[in-house]
Amino acid sequence: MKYLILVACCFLLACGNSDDDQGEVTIHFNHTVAGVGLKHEDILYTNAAGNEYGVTRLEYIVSDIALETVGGKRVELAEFHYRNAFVGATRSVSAKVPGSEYTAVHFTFGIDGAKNETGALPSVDHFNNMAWPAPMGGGYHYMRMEGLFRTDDGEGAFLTHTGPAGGEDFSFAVSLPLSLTVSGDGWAIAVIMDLNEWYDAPSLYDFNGRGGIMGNADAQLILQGNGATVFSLGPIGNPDHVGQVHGEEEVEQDRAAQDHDEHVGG
Amino acid sequence: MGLGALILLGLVACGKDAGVPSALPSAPTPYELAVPTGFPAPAIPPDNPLTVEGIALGERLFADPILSVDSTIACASCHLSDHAFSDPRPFSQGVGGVTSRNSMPLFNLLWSPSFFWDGRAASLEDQALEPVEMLVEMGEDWDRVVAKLERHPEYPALFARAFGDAPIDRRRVVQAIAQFERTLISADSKYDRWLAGQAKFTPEEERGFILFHTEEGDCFHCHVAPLFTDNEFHNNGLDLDPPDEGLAALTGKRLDRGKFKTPTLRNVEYTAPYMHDGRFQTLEEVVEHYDSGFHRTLLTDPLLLVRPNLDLDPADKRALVAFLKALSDPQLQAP
Repeated sequence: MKYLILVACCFLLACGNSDDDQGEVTIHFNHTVAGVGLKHEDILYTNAAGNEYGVTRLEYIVSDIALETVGGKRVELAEFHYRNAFVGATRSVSAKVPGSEYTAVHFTFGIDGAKNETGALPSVDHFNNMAWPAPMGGGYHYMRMEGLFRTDDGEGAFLTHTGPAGGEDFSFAVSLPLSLTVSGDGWAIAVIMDLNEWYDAPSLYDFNGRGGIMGNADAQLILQGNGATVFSLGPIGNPDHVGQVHGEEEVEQDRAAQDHDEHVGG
Repeated sequence: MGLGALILLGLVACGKDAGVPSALPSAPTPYELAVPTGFPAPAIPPDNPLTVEGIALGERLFADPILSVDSTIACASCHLSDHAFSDPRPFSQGVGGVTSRNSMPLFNLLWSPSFFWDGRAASLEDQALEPVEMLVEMGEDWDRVVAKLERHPEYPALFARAFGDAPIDRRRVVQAIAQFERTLISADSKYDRWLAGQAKFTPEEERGFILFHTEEGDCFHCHVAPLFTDNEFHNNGLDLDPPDEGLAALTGKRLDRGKFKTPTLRNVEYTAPYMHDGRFQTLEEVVEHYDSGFHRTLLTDPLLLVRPNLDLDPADKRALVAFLKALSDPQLQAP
């Protein structure tokens, strides 16, 4: 009898997870400024405070990336994902998911406070470089956005470094409704971060007068609040047709593969 | 020693005389690498696994001036073991002149994705190819190096033991050197022992640790534990108009001018002088630079440009230096 039940269970499980129904879902994290694909370095953008700026670095961590089924069940695609906006290899998260109707994509911007501890992520350069030092509360930056902006005196720098200032949790949940029926094959979803949204509403964020903000809970709170409108959903569909936002720039390179004739030693 | 072993030794000895061992060498012995706690997984090229024999050969080649045109310059001539394998001179003296950059220290290279101050080599093997033919270093020709090694009374047998068969070529030379360099691991500083709960910082070191790892000193963004480098490239405001293009020479990008690879701060006590051009003789000078001495230009890294001068008081400057010295690993230094 026990054997019969076991066989029946296996049969049921097999029916529920047919390879034919499964599909690979890829989420691309793309970046725009006022709707235009992000370019590297040049001062091309203006935020709501009137700061004219350019971006030299944009790295961040998203976590607990999941799709929600029509029945309300969450299917996790990845626990943590590191994204460098200028390195295409970090653009996407992919996972096989059961065939189903999905109604939303969810993720946490940054890492939930309960999990954001020093050493929680694998020791690799890109995670180590996001470390939030123990004397400042420990864990990891959520985001390192850096660049230059025009000031009355010429050009200044801004560092929008978000994270667990003073050990407080400033991560936030992002939920983007969608309509996606997975039934075999592959599917791609574009999630878009618009950089100007960090600095717009409900609180205006001006680069002037702000240096490092890692110890500034007020600044972290503003950015957390503004984060509610930072992400939106882009195209959904065939993986071959959903990728970068038009105009987005990547600068990754295999430095050693380039010709270099200058003999300088060291 | 058994009779069989004596016969085998005899065969190997005969082989040495002929330049090629007549007995088939045994397979190289895999080397067990100990990865320090908290360090990333090492990246070892699949075509150059670490072996006991390969490392021994690499260590010998590293110290042998046979690689240079006049047999005066070895790798070890400019990477001195009692200076964490760096050079105490700002620029190194080669057979045909001096280099234009300071010789970088050599340890924890297993965790470096690029080599040279401008990152132009993607592997240790590729890095090691370059100095042999540079006039300001060894000034030799690789074909001549290979010929010298083939004629040498001992190297043919050593290569055979290290690689399983006899041929010597430039690739094998740099593979052996790279194997040796990958064994230069430093993770036994006072900081490491403090982290493991086996040592206590002095109050001054403790203050330096705090300054280093908060926005008060803000060293941690580029000198990230556990390697104390982010393995990236920055312009740290050394010059108003950088005379050395640095990374920009490879990328051609305007904002890469004067960017150089972040050096590790482990063993920094032993690696003076500092910066790519060896301009600072002491750690105190380095601290002074980051405190209030750097130039503010469009090329200066935003991490520096964003903040006013630190204007640390003398006690805090001393504390930073004390913490930096807690990153010293005497085990790395030659006895």
